[in-house]
Amino acid sequence: MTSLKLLEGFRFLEGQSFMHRVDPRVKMFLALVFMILSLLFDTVYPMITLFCLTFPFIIIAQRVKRWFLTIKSSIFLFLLILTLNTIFLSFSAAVAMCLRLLVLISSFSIFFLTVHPDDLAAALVALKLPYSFSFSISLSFRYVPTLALEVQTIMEAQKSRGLELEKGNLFTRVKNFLPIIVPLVLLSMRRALLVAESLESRGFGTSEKRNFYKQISMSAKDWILFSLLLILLVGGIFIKIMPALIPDGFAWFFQNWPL
Amino acid sequence: MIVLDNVSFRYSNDTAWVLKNNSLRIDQGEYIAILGQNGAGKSTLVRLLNGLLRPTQGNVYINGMNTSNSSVAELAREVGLVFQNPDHQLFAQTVRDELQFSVKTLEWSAEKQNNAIKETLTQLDLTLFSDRSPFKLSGGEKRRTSIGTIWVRDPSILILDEPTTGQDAVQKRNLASLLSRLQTYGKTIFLVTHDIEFTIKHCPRVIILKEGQIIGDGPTMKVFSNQRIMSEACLFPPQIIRLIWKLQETHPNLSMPNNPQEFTQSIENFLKNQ
Repeated sequence: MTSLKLLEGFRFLEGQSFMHRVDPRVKMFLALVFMILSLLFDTVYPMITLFCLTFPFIIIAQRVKRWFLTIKSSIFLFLLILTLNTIFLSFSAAVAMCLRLLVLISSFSIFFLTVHPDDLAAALVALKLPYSFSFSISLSFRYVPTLALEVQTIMEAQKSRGLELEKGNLFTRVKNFLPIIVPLVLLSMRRALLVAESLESRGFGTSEKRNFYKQISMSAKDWILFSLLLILLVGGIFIKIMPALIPDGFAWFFQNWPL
Repeated sequence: MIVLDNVSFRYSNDTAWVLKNNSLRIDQGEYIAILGQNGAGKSTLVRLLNGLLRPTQGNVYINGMNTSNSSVAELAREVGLVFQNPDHQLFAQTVRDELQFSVKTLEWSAEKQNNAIKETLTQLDLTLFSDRSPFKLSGGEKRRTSIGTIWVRDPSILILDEPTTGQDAVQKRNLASLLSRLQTYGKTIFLVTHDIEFTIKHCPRVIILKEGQIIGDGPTMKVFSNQRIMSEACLFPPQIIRLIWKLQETHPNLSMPNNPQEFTQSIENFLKNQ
C-alpha cells in the first residue's frame, strides 16, 4: 500500500478548517512562495525556518496524519538524497537537500489537501488562464487517486509474478520499477485518449464563452495572508541578492555546517 | 490444497470487516467459481490466498504453508493470480520476454526455463506471437499471454479474476477450453466471476459470498437452484435452472440434475421416448 500512502498527502479531503476556506489562488501562491524560497537557499538553517513556517499551515488544515503518511512513504527517497549528497557533496548539503524536499512536499501538500479540483480550475480561470488549460490541470489532479489505485493494482499484478520490489541493491530496486512504470504509462495514455474522446462527444470547447457554477472571490483574510506571503517572498529574494545587508551576527544562519 | 480457517479481514482497525469468519477447504485439482455482488469480498478473498493481504483473524493455508508467515514471492510459486486487465501485467517487448520475466525469479536452470516457456507458448497457442509485442495483440491473445505469464511459473493453484469480462462468445469458448485443458494437469482453477452462465457450464463447484460471508458452497447446480441463496446474493438464476423450475410446474417428478450435461441427456431421452 506504499504507493497509495505516498499520495495521501496530495489527495483532497473535504474539511471545514481555516485553510480549506482560504482562496485557492492564495494557497497556490503559498506553495509557489515556499517552492521559490526553498530553491533560492541551499543551507540548513533557512530550510529549517521554511519548514517551521509551512508546518503550522498543515496543523491548521488538520491534516498532519495524512502529511505524515506521505513523509513516511518517502523515507526511501530521503535516504537516497542523503546518501548521494553526502558522498558527492557534504553531510551539511545532504541535510539541506532533505529539508528542501520536506518543505516542497509540505507546501504542495497544504495546497492539494485543501483545494478541491473544481476550485483549482476556478482559480486558474480567475487568473485569466484559458479554460481548456485550467480544465486540463484540474482534471489531471482529479486523476491522482485513480492513478494511485492503478499503481497498486499493477504492483500486485507484478508481485503475483514473483517480482520483489523491496529486495536487492539500489540499482536492482530502480530496475524493478520498470514493470510498474511501463503499464502505468500505457494505461494513462490510453485513458487520456478516452477522456479526450468523451469530452469531445459532450461538446467540450464548442462555445467560446461559458459560465461557472462556482465563483471565487478574495476576502480580507485572503488578502492578509497573501500580503504576508508576499513580504516573505520579497524578503527572501532581497536577502539572497543582497547578502551584504545581512548583519555580521547573522551570517552563520546562511552558512553550511562545517561537515 | 487451500484451507481457510475462520478467516476475517479488514483493512484497518477503524474500517468495517470485509470478510467475516469464513472457513473453507478446496482440494487440489478442483475447478471452482466464486460469485457475489460487487463489494462482497471476492477480490479480497483471492488476495488473501497469494499473500497480497494477510488475514486480520484466522489463518489461510496454501499447500500447508500459512500465508501469514510466507512472503508473496514464496506464495507466488504455489498460487498464480491472473488479474482482470492484462494491461496491468504486460510490459515487456515481446511475448517471450514476458514469460521470461515471470520465470527469472525462480531458481530454475536455463534449460528448465526455456522448456517451460516453450511449453507455455504451445499450450496457450502463443507460439506464433512469441516475438511480437504484447501491446499489439488482440484482447483474447493478451488474455492468453497474461495467463501464460502466470502459467509458465507452474503454480499448483491458478486464480483468474473476472476472466470473461469484456470477452465475446468465441473468446469465452476458447478460454473455457483453455482452462479445461489446464485443469487436466491436476491444477486447482479458481475463478472470480459475475458470469453465471459460464460458471454453470464449466465449474463443478461454486462459492457464493455476501457481505464478506460465504452463504453458499457446493455443487453448482445445487447452489444455483437454492432460491434463498440466490435471492440473498442478488443473483439471477441461470437459464437452465429457470427452465427446470418451469418444467417442474407441470412435471413435479422432474428432479434437479447434477450438471447441465445430465439435464441435456434427460431431455434427449425424453424426446427419443416421444
